[in-house]
Amino acid sequence: MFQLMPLCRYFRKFFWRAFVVFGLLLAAPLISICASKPDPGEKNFSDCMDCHEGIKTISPSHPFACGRCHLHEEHRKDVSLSSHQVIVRNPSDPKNLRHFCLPCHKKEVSTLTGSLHWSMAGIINQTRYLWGAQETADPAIYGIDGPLSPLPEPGTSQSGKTPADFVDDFLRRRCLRCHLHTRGPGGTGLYRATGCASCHMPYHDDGRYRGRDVAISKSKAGYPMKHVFTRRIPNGQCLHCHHQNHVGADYEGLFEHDYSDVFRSPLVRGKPKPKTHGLGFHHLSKDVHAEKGLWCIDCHTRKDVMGDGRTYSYQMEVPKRSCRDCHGGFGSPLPDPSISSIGKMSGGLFFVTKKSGEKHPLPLFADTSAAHGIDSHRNVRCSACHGQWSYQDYGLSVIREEIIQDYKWIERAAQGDPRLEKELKMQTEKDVAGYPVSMDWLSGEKRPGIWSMGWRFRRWEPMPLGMDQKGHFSVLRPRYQYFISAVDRGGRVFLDSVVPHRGDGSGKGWAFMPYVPHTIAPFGRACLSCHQNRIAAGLSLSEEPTPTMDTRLTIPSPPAVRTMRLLNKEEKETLLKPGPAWHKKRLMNLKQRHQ
Amino acid sequence: MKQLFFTLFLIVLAGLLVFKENRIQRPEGFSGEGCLYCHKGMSDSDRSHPASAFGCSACHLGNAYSLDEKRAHATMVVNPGDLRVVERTCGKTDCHGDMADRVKKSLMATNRGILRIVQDEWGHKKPKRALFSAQLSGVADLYGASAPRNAPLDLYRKMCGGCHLWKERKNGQGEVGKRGGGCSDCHVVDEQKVKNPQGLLIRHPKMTTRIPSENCVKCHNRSARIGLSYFGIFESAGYGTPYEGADLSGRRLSGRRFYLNLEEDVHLKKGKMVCVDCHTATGLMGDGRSYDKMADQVDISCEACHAPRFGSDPETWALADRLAFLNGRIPQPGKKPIGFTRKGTPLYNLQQVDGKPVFYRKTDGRALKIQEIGSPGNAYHNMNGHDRLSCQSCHSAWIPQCYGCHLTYEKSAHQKDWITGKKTPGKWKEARTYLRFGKPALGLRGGDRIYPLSPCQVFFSASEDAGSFIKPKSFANLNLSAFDPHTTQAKSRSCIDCHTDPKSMGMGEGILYRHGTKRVFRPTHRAADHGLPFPLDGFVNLGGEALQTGAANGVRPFNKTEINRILSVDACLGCHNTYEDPIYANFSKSLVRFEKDKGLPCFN
Repeated sequence: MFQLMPLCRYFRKFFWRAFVVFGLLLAAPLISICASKPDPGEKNFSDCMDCHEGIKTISPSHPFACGRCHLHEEHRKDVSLSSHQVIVRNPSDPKNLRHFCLPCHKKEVSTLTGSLHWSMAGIINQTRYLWGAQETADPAIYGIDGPLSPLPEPGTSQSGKTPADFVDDFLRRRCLRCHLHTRGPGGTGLYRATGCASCHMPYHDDGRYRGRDVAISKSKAGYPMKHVFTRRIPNGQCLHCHHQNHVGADYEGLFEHDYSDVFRSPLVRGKPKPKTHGLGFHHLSKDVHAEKGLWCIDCHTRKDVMGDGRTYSYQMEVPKRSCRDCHGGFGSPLPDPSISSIGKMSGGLFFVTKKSGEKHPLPLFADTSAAHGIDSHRNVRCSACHGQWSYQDYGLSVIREEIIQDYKWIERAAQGDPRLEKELKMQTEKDVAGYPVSMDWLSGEKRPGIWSMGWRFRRWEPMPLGMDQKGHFSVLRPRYQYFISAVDRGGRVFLDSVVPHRGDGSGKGWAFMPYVPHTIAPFGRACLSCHQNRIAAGLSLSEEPTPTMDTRLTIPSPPAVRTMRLLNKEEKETLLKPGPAWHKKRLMNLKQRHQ
Repeated sequence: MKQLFFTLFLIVLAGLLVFKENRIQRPEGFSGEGCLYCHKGMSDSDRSHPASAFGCSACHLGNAYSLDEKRAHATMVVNPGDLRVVERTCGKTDCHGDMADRVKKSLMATNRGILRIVQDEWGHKKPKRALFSAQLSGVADLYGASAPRNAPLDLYRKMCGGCHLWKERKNGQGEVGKRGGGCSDCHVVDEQKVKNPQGLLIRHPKMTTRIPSENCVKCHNRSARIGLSYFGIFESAGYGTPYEGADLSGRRLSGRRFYLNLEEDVHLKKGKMVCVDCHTATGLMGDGRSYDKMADQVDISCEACHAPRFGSDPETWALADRLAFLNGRIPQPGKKPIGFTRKGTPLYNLQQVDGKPVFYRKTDGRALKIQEIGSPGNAYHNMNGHDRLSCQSCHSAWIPQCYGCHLTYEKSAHQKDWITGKKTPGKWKEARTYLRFGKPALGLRGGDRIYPLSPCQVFFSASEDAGSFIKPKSFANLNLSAFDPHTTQAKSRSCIDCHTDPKSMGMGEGILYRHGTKRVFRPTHRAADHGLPFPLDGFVNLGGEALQTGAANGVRPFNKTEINRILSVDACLGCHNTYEDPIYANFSKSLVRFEKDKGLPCFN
């Protein structure tokens, strides 16, 4: 609240001239209706407040006339505008931000355009590498925009013979719906803007406007909550992209449901719950930081999210605030003093959350704990022990179909994406063959063909271990174990559940990637969840010497980034058969806690 | 004169009869029955029922002496195994009279277990479980116009009533059409359809006591899914992956379901054994009593073979000899000692040869060596404190687990009633929360036996005609079932599997840790959206409070004392990791020493 008070005062003081700012961002649809009135010539679109009565200034730090952000320079001085066309809806869109945001935010814009949020280099280069289209994932070669080369045009089915010929199409139509250059499919929990606004302009899950601008429909979805630009970004905003089984959703304890219609549960009043973020979710234990009310941005600083000027190839190499920066760790018992959210009082340290300003006692790395007293744990990521569960989505079958002749998708049209779901459903329910089309999120155009997918099985229990690029033990997750199929317009099968091969010929294009599960518990998992544990050591879920075609999917494949790796033989042995010293330590641990 | 006329009349009559008799075409070697005259070339059903000795009408009834198609077939039964006619066919006094009676009382014919459970689901709020009507002795009572009706019985009729011996073996394609038919449900193996020149089928369906497992799995692939698990088949979450060509995976089950391949049961993998290798006639067809639970009717146990007791008496030999003859491939036991089941049924395929137990496979008579449980002194099977463990607790590799069964009933829609075969108002649908095949949680069955557990969690939503939700009629009832998952592995689960893992103890996935002197459990799954303050896989909490024992089926999770006892071993398992370790001879004494003795090597 203390932050809102000056805001209100500010509004009162400057209200008479505050009506000018950013209003038209939200007004485009309504004004286009005005524009179709019989005599458009009389309408002057330069008088924003004529329609946008009630709109508020976008933020205290942007006390500008509307035109400053919503009109290109050549129109700003026009006394009269005969059309809404020249008004820029979202000045922060990647197409526009150089004209509007850049002059004031040079540093932010230049680092952002080098960041992974902008380039999507991790997803692009790893997938291309695993599908055999490039020789390495790191350093990155391609990106959506920015310093990296633009993603090649997609291949066509006429020429496609190998997964490499299909990967760019797959990326463009299935993966890259979530990036700053496109608004994505929309739908509950998916509404968002592009560019800076994709983070800084909060959208409600239902996409409904909640401000006072009379020109904006309150019943139509697809609008931001208010005409507000903010640095206080709530988690819901991040989740508009970071959902499905991706980090971010786990922080909130979400695990995506299975796709089939008979897995829409629990029923609410006898009906399946409406889908959010494209599907329903299981609720698992939240990250302890989420339980305490911390937002993503409490840890993830501007540098984490918007880049630091360097070009990165994958998420794990981006320097980020770490656990030890707040909690201390091996050899550094105290937090980083530069973190402004941390304060000191008589009872010890506390952390002030950005959401509510609440103070939480800040627990420090307990060097008295048995696990923290083991020196070899120095090389173990905190999340490898404190992560409670992880995303283990085994066996990803993807198929591109240009014709749908049967009813196979009838119960499994839900694909985590409302647009794909609608198209798939429509084409499947036809009595004749359907010829589906889907969106290329880079070109913004639809093309024949649709990518559908399914998993073999999805689990949250197993937590296999591997090494990150710094040689720290990390939890691994499958990303992904591809089986690629492609069917052309004539029904001919080009690829039939093909397992791709890596671009450097080093093996099949399946990868388990070290990551940081955001499912932190206030205490570590049991010693035995890693030690003497087959799964942690990277052995199959099944104890049979010859796993089946399904259980073998639980055996990790090497990561897609060369500096990361699976556990070596020695590390596996040490994990599986710990010596007497370990047993003693474990006993000490139990005893210690017992006393 | 009169006499002459009469004589002449007789002569003419005799002549006519002779003439007519000569005009009628009869099959060669006419045995008295006319069936084979048309059904020329019909094969025998099996070697115990040759048509040459029995004819056809002994089983199929009908008017065997009429050579007129219509009259001959008028009273015929196509399927003599049908329980509606069985007293006049298979179950005739001189044939299998005792069997027919037993079968009718067996669970496969009565479905009493299923009927009781579904009625319990609805009656769980009422103190005396009043819904289970006493007059309902089994599914047979549901036939006919005056059959009792209520919501759970409607559920049974539409979702369960297609799998029992009273179902007629016809109508319906694939698996559905093959289910039912009384004796024939199990004992008949369909043959390829071959016709004689007259266009009549001549290959008699094969009758056998070497029942192929397909006959079992056509029904036993739902609910506990033991018929699938034994073969390493696990019903998947319906993705239908990996894709095959432009289609979904071919690994399919009936009802638009798909499956994954997991470990097979060791009896299949190593022994290539089929269902009836273990499951005896008494277990399958009953012992003459009408049970409410499958566990009570089942005759076989692991111990029957792996810790066998043998008997040698003339009565046993006589029965065993007869059964071995019927099988045709298992050596006649003669005077060899014969194994017994827990109910005392002779296991004619378990014989003592040269002092060693030998198991013969019923399909091909091949002898298998039996892995015996071991000598009485063997530590792992004679551990103090492990005396209540069933074999399945340690030797089951996995158990299919279905979390959250969301059942809806829509009054206005129609659905097929399997008993009448007609569509009637009221439609039932099922949805799930999630499926797992992990290591089983353990709990108690029948008060004194530790068994693998699997959840059966009914969340029922009732809707009115217009589809509007009726809250008072909706409910959630969470149950546990304990059964042999049929995923036996030779190796047992490890000590730490049970003594440290909260999932095995029935608390569910999560982190079990100690906070000071207190144990705390942080579960992974949260079921607040299901209206539950505990996770779906939490059958019990750390305090030993049973959370999911809705049905009165004698199954419960561990209680507080048991959980504490299980956990008390945890600390010792690092060093004391063999069954032979002396600390386990009297563990409670060892525990006291551990807490009090200062000089123990544990901490030095």
